[in-house]
Amino acid sequence: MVFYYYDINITKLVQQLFYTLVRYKPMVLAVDVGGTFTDFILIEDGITCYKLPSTPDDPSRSVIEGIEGKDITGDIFHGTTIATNAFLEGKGADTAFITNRGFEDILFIGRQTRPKLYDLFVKKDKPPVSSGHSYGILGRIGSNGDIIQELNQKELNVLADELKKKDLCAAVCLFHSYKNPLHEKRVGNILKQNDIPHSLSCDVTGEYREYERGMTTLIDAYLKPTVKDYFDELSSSLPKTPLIMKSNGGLDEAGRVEPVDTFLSGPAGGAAGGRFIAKHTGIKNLVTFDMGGTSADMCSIVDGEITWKDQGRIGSFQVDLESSAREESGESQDFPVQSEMVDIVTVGAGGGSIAMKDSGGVLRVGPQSAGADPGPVCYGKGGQQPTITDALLCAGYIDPDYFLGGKFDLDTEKAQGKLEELADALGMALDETINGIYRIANSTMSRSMKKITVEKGLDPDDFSILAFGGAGPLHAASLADELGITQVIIPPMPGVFSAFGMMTGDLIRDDSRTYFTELTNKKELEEVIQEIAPHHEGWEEEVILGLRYKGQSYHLNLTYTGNISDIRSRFHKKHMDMYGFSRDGEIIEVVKVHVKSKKSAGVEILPREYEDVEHPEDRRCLFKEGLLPTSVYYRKGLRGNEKGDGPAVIEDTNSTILVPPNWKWRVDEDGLLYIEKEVKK
Amino acid sequence: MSTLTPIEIEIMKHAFISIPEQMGASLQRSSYSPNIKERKDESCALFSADAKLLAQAEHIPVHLGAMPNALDAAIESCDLSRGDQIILNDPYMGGTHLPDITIIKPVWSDEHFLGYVVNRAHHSDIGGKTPGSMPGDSKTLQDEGIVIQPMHIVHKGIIVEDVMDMFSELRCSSERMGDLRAQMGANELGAREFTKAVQRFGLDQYQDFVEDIVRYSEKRTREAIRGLPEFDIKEKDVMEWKEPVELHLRMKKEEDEMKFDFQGTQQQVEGNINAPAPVTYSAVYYVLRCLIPDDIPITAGCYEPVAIDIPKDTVLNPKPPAAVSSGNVETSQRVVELILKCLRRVLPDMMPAESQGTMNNITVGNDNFTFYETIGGGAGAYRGGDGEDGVHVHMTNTQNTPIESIEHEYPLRVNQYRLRKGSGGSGMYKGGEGIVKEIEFLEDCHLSIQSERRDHEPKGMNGGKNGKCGRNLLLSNGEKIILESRVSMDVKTGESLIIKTPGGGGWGKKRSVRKN
Repeated sequence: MVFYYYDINITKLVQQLFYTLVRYKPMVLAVDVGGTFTDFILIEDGITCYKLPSTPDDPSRSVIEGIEGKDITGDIFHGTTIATNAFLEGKGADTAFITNRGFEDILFIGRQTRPKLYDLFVKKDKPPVSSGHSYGILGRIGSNGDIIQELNQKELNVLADELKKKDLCAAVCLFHSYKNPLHEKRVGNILKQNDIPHSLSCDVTGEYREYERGMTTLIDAYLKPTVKDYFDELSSSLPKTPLIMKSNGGLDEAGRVEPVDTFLSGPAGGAAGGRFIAKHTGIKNLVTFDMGGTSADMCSIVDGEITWKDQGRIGSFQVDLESSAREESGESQDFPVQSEMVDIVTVGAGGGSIAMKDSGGVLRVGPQSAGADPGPVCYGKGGQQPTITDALLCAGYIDPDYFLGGKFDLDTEKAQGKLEELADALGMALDETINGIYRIANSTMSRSMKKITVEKGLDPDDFSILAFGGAGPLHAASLADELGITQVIIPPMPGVFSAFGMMTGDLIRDDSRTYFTELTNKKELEEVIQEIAPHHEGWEEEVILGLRYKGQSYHLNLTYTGNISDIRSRFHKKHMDMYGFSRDGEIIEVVKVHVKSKKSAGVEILPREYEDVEHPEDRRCLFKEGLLPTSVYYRKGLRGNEKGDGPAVIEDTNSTILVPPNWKWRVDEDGLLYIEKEVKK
Repeated sequence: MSTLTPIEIEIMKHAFISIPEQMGASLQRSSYSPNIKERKDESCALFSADAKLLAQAEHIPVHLGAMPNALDAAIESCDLSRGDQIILNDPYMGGTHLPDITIIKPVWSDEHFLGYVVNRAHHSDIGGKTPGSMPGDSKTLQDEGIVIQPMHIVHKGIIVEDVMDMFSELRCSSERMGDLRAQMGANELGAREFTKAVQRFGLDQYQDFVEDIVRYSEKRTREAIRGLPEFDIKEKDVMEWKEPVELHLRMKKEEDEMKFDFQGTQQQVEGNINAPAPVTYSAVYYVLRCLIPDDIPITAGCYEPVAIDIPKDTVLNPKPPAAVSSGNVETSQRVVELILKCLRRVLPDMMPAESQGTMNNITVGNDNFTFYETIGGGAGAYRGGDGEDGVHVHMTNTQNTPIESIEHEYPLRVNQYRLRKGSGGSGMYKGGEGIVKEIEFLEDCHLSIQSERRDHEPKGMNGGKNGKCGRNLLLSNGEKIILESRVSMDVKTGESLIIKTPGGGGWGKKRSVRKN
């Protein structure tokens, strides 16, 4: 048996030293920048985790500070919010949008829909370009790639002069450039000659749908200078160019990463970690469940691979379950981005979600959140409305003396006072109310979890939940119950697992293009694949085809292996699985050719903490069944192959794990913790 | 008497609402017509054993009031057993207009009857005299396509081939078949999830839930209505027909109830602006949803405090064989504006000026293709904000079809698609701009347009100016021909259609100083 011990140094305040038996060479480091803290994991002679306060005014500062003085000989893995934050804060470059004449307003019209269905005061989100900076130029390419109208050189020269005079960057999106990029390339040349920083839609995303492609190109051009400066700063200050976690769940060198490919950098780290755990355990179908203070992220790992989608969004990712669109919170920003992203659903349920009685007399939990400030009532920072954290504290799940490693005093009495007020208002017992808050939070999250399973044609019965984040391991087993899932896995270091996940990623590059042809046109298809495939030395390539029955407008992605009749039957089957029918005689059309290049990069170890400690005393915790005596353990004190029955609470660093009654727990030889329920046959 | 706690109601609410949500996701992704998959012109719902609406995942407000009627018609006309699915589109038996096809599946768990899953989707063609089944000049229902009275499309688990054969005669029949399969598939998924949810909570608890969730929605809806001022107001508006057709409304609010009385509305016409009663129900429910908190679940209870009275044989409650294809899309918008017109008098700060008030329906096709699209326009300005530009308002929220998709799939070329500058009414707050869309025909085609507000400007409010009327133009050999608000005509290769959609009304006098 192999033990890895790790050293935990939280905000340089608490230091716990352990010993190591195995060395990992060279020294590698992961750094994940979050809203409040920047998490570091350093692997050399064991594993060190530490946190520094993030520095939003200059995000590179906390990263550089945390790495300074460390002799990193291996890779630096980095999760960043630089592009997301610059976008949401409007800190991009002044950018002009260049498109075909007569279509100057396409970004403002969008898809002509309003974000909220029942809203008399309609407001669409405003793209980061002023209507005065949207230019329509002569020239037109048809859907088959033919030139219908030539560009006008004189007009382009005048335009370039104007952009220079106004000191604007440029985003160029011309019709059907995925089919024939000639006009875009020529406009690009003129911009280049004039030293105007620009992005061409055929380079940023080779996919059809002019609004989505135009928006993606605009966002790319708008963020490029900020993101480039940041990466340059890191590359020159750090001992090594960092590998950036991209939204697609893969890594790439800082210099090669486009801003639009990083919007899900943090959550993608969790998904990458999920893939690693799937590979390590052989449990190939997982739903990752990362719950923190304000929201919960979920992503499914199917057959060992992260599920991804061709298009995501920047802005508000949160699913608003109550109204047909998201909540309005001042100036909202929510736009499509044509970039491969891990298929993550985010729901506004976290430890800070507020519980209240609504005017219909029903108990509601969230989506309002007390956030980190004032936070839950028990923080004693002025929070007046009870939250999920308050309920879990009063249920006995959270130990007030061990919260966040004991750095934080929690006021149980105050929390209970507010919960009593709520219980009185509802006309219910306190215990019932506390348990109710917990169960309602779980039912909200299970509704979201269905969005990434049942709505995608997947049966939750076939999945295990991988739970992490501060609050994930507290809710996972009960959430699993709602969905009929019988196994929950808690990885090591659940509190910083997203950062760990980044270390386990592969280098992944996506090259794709819209291409319409019938599946049977093998020769044509092979030619396009050769055109798109980058053939990087030492990289594996996987070809993925976007396929649909001719006439449909959504496609399914399928790996291009085997002969055409193989692919055809796999397509029919996948269609049947997802939508409940297939159409065997129908023509299958290719709409997208996608080459995924991969190279392994990450570490392949599972950190393990062990210390010979005395476990805390049992306590009484509140469950649906009532107040039950509950065993309490320190996770670091659990040995391989140890096991026990619920109810139990297992204290981990920065996270608490709950094993409900009727569930069992066990630790495997590598230190992974399993919470399982026996299935009644 | 129900025994559910305030906690159990909330937990079960999430579990049951997620069923139509999942059906909708499945339907959108697996259907064929751009109408359903791109424009999301569909709705899914869940009903109790006594046919009470329990949950609805709607994407289009115009389906709000229509689902319960469809279910009632199916129950009345058909014997239902396990493994059945019922299909209908008859506007006089639970439908609204023919392209909207509803499919209903009763659901059992062991020997217990649980209720129904229902979905409705707008098909891009259902026969009739013109491609797209929305002829601008239809006079009777027969002109608009095939009429399906409630009947089995699946009988005891087996698809009824005779019914499927009806569709094989239609234009683009394979697309119809695909969409119908998608609709049946969504119901199968819904039924499976419905059964699972009931098994999880138990039958007794499910029955309590039915009672409680309906009562809960009703309680909260009544409370929201109670918060409005009392009023009793009469207003009228017109639909553009040969002679303008008047719609009348007396709207009354008393304590926690509302009454909508459409007495005085004109007799039905020999044209397609007639709207079956469920269309008006939908318009009323839409405005109600805008007035009440948006977290109230949509169930039968929401509609309890509302009484709607529509006189028979009028444009808002016609009898067969009146044509109706424009009722759902255009008349519905006018009914909303009529209700808002009443509300402007009592809640001036909660109401916007008039918006484009039309969906600008265009259908183009020939033997090889059908393309249907609606176009956004200007929204009305309101105290504190300009009206939004180029957007769908009120009863629809369907996406446009990407131009690259139109040009790839159809023999059409789009020559311009931009905001119609200056079309929004001026004022302290400006009305939203309409849209200009120009489509060139690359083959000889048939063109149908159904639009409104071509003669009557969307009105400004509180001194704001009116928005501009919409215009429909045909560009032929360099000549611009003005078209009516409703047309059905052949067009030739090389000709272009230019649609200019109406702007929204402005709010407040322009010369007043705008305070920020």
